[in-house]
Amino acid sequence: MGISSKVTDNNLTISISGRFDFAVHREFRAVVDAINNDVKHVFIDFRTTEYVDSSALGMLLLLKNKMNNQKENVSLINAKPEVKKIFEIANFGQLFTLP
Amino acid sequence: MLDQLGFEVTVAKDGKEAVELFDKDNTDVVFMDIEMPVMNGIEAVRLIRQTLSDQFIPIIFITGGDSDKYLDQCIEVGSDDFIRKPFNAGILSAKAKSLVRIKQMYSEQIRQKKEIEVFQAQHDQEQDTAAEIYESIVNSGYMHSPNVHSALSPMSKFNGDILLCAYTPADKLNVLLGDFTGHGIIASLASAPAAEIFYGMTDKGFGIREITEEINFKLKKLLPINMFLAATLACLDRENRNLSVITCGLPDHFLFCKETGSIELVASNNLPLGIIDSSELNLTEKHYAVSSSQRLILFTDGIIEAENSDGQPFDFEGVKNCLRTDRHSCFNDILSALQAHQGKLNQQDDITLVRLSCDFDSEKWNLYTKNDKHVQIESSNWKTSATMDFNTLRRFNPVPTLVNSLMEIQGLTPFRESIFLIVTELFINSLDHGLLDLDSSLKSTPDGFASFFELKQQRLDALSEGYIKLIFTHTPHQYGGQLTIRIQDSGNGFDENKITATLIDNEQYSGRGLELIRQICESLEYSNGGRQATAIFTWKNSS
Repeated sequence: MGISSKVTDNNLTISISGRFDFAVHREFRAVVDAINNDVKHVFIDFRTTEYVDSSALGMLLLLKNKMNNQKENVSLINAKPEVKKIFEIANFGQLFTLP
Repeated sequence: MLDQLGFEVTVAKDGKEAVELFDKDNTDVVFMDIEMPVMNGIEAVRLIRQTLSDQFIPIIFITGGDSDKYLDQCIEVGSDDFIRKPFNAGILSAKAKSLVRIKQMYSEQIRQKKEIEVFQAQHDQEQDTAAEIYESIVNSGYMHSPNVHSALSPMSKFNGDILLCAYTPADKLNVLLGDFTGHGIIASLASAPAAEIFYGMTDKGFGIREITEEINFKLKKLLPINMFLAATLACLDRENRNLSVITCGLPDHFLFCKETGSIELVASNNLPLGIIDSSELNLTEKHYAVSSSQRLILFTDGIIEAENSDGQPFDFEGVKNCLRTDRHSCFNDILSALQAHQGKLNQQDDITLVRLSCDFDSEKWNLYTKNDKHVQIESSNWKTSATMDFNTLRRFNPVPTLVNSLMEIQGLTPFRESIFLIVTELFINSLDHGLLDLDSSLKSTPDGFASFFELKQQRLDALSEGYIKLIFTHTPHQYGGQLTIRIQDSGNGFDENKITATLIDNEQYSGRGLELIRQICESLEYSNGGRQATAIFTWKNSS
């Protein structure tokens, strides 16, 4: 359960395991706040994410805002079909890079 | 002994005197012997404890000899500790101090509990008041419609879900179902501006596209980055038997036919509202030709995410299964199936289910009534005109704005529905058949309306010349006034008789379109090969 992050070169990878909802808000916010100018691209790895709610989508918007609001700078990767469905419903493909 | 330790001591010679002397407000700790004349210690403690409600004063029994047999009774009446005779000053001091400390902690806890209770009461009261204000803002414009059935079960007083419903002056039914990020008061706060825009614009006759763009614009300005509104706006147009839908981030809806049992998926294909600028929104609007047996089933994510005791969600399948099993009472079926699914589990999310029935025969339609309203308006002479070039026409529908400006010039608000209908009908004919050269017989094919709209959009986008001009002339008239509405366009002209024919429905209802305008107006004449139309609307003050 929880959020882990790792920086390699100029890429930040954030992995979220379990439920991505309001309960991890602080933790996620802390990772977003820690992003500095060296980070050029953020990958969010949903490999072990079971569930995403609307406040989680809101957190992704905060992250995107931190990355200069550029679609190219944030990729949502490895989402399971259930999670992918939630991104599709919200049409987040317009805002984020989806595989 | 206790004197020397700094305690102030009151001594009683037996249990009875102890009870009489006991002062709960000035006592930190009680030392009680068990065997005493008149009243024993156990009985005395029982009485003392009765005088203390939620106050805590530690009581220590002093035991010795064979008094051990009373221990159980001592505990029962509320002894906090024992001290065995003989004892020395050190033990007595330690016990007394530790119990006094416990008493202080306990008192502190009681104080905090009371504080929380006061806070809670204040909070509840504020919530009640806020809920009342919220109710009046969000629901004041709500028009009950026999076409809309809904079940909203909020988790708390404030629900992140909103359902809005109102008729336009042209008798189209607009519905908005929305779900704000999060729950409770924060999620509800933003409902107020969304509701105001929805009701205000519907009342002025704006379409769902303009309403959606305006709500998006407002929410983008108001909401923090991480908040948005997932919503669907639907417009049921009786005249054209058409259902238009703009879906912005709610789970797939179902367009269900109770006759054939067919289920068509209406998927979300726009971003939720309040995230990006309206200029980038590029809304996709879908049009469905519908019959009276069709229903649009809308819901927020609460329903599909509702889990049973094994953590399995109700899901889209749960809803579909209900639709498949009983085509006729689908609404209650979904609710009871959902309840059965959830069992005794608490509701996890706001659950909202809406059924928009496309039944065009229900009584609410035909709000339009002849002008028998009580009016006293001072009539005057004025003339105004507006010319919209192709660029303007591509971008927006000018009718609501124009009609509302007429209302302000002459105070013709009581006749707004009629004037709105006339201007809308004339404008749409000029645009569709004059400038865009669309054939209205296209609408009568099965997917007619959708393809008609698609073609209209294509031609609008490609429009590179032309204009529509509207001229409004008002003159005082016997007991009232006369408004002449003239429309001119630069198109190729058209035969108005053809349009009239297609718009009249042969199923019982009276038909709108030009036929209705002829009923409302003194006269309606097309000239210049269909490039100009003149409608004269007369109104009277009440005598």
